[in-house]
Amino acid sequence: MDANTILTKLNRAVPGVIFDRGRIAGPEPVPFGWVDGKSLRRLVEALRADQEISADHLENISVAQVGDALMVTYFFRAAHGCFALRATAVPAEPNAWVSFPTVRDLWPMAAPMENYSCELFGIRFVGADGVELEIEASLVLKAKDSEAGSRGFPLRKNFVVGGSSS
Amino acid sequence: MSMAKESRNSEELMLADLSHWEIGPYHGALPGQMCLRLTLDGEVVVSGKVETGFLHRGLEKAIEIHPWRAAITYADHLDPEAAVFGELALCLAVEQIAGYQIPARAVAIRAILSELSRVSAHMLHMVKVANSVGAETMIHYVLRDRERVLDLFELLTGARFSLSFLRFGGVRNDVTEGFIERVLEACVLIRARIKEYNDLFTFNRTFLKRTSKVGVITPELAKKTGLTGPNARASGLPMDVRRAFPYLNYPSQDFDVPVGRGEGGAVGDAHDRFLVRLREIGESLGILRHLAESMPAGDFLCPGVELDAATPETVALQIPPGEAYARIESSRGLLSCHVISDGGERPARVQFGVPSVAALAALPEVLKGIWIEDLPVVLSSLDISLAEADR
Repeated sequence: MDANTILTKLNRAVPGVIFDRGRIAGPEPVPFGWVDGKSLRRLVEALRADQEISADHLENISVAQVGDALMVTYFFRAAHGCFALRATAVPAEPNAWVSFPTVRDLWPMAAPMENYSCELFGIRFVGADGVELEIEASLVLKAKDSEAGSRGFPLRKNFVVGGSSS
Repeated sequence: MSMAKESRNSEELMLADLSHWEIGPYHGALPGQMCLRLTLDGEVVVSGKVETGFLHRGLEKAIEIHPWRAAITYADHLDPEAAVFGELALCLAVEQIAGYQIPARAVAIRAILSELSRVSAHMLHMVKVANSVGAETMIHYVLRDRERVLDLFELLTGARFSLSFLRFGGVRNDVTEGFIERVLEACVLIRARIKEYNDLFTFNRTFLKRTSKVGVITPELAKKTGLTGPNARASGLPMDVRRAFPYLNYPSQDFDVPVGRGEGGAVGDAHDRFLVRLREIGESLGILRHLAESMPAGDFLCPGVELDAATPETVALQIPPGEAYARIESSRGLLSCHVISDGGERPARVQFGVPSVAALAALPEVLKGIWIEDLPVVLSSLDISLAEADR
């Protein structure tokens, strides 16, 4: 089963959830599906439950800011190849938090990647029960909450780095 | 852990004298700046929590605010102990966007550097494990031989660490005179030394006693936490990116992927993690020899690509809009790099997926039930790089 067949199968399992497809270049190109953020949780549950796809390994969660939107890409390794799912969310204000469904209950290896995205991009991950996950504040969040902090989230485009750069 | 301790029920544990230890962020037993919060029942670790972030340097942000060419130097700083892997992952991704065709000679030079870095990093791992069990002779022997690898880096790049030698489209220089011959010499020498390490150390009674059945990572735990690289292979999972998703010229290389066999007592223990790396050095030497003997002629840089001339007139490198994802087998496991370009003079986004994050995630489970005196052995055997985890 190749990656495109996997995406087709997922779109059948949760009808209409993948609204576009693309391909990320690379030594081993990665096909990906654009997913409606609201249905992402249902989709990943269907993905995890599918024994045939056997997407055991969540290899990476990559977040990028494109325009105003935060774009989250999940890179999966399945029995027959790699594929990715991608969703976006737009913060209400430049420094406002955005919410995404967590996948750490389905793929435990997602936990440190979600923590990293939470601290540096301001993404709150929400459990299947709709409750926001508590992230134990590490240095970045602690600094942010301090008086010297509150300058926004470091990896967002509006975050100004002090000092000079060329 | 003794049977008596294992059979304690939770009520007894509640009554026991539990002590709470906080180790770090700066401590000689730790692999870097991190904080361990341990709960101990006597000398046995009951639970452990890991706090990281002390070495966060804003590396990914720094890449975004600097020109494309500078990104290589920042990627080089991802993991100072095996610098070339960060550079390589970045270059492979960027070259896919730019559509550069890398000359065969540059590919071979990159592969040689990768395998030399793997040998160097694995030797450093051996030193750390030896240090954690107090095997001083081993430390001196391995460090002495690792100098030969660092000499080769210096001969090729002018630097022993932080090589910054790769360029988008190839490498900075062609191989220097005598480099290939010295690679072959080093292969012969280190292969002979591996036997010496084995005789001296691998199945040494004291070493076995300190590492066998210590810090066992089951295949299930390795899968659950997303472990890759030698740590996962020591637990019996044979995934190697060089085989599963080939890059550079690895498809034409003949090498085995060593996996843990529980020769020290249990599959996935600290001894297996040591042994797998020792055997991987042997495999890397085989690859190096083949690469050095079949070095292709030709350019070391993609035609039409300018090297970085640091003058005010230098035209800033622009990479066309697009995105790419590259994954490589670093000395610690799967290292991925996701690059997005908006066509400007700076990267729009560079994100690294690093193997040490999974090792840190596995740590609380691995620590459960170990004796406190085994803590340095467990930590050193996992070969965690806080530099790459915190970035």
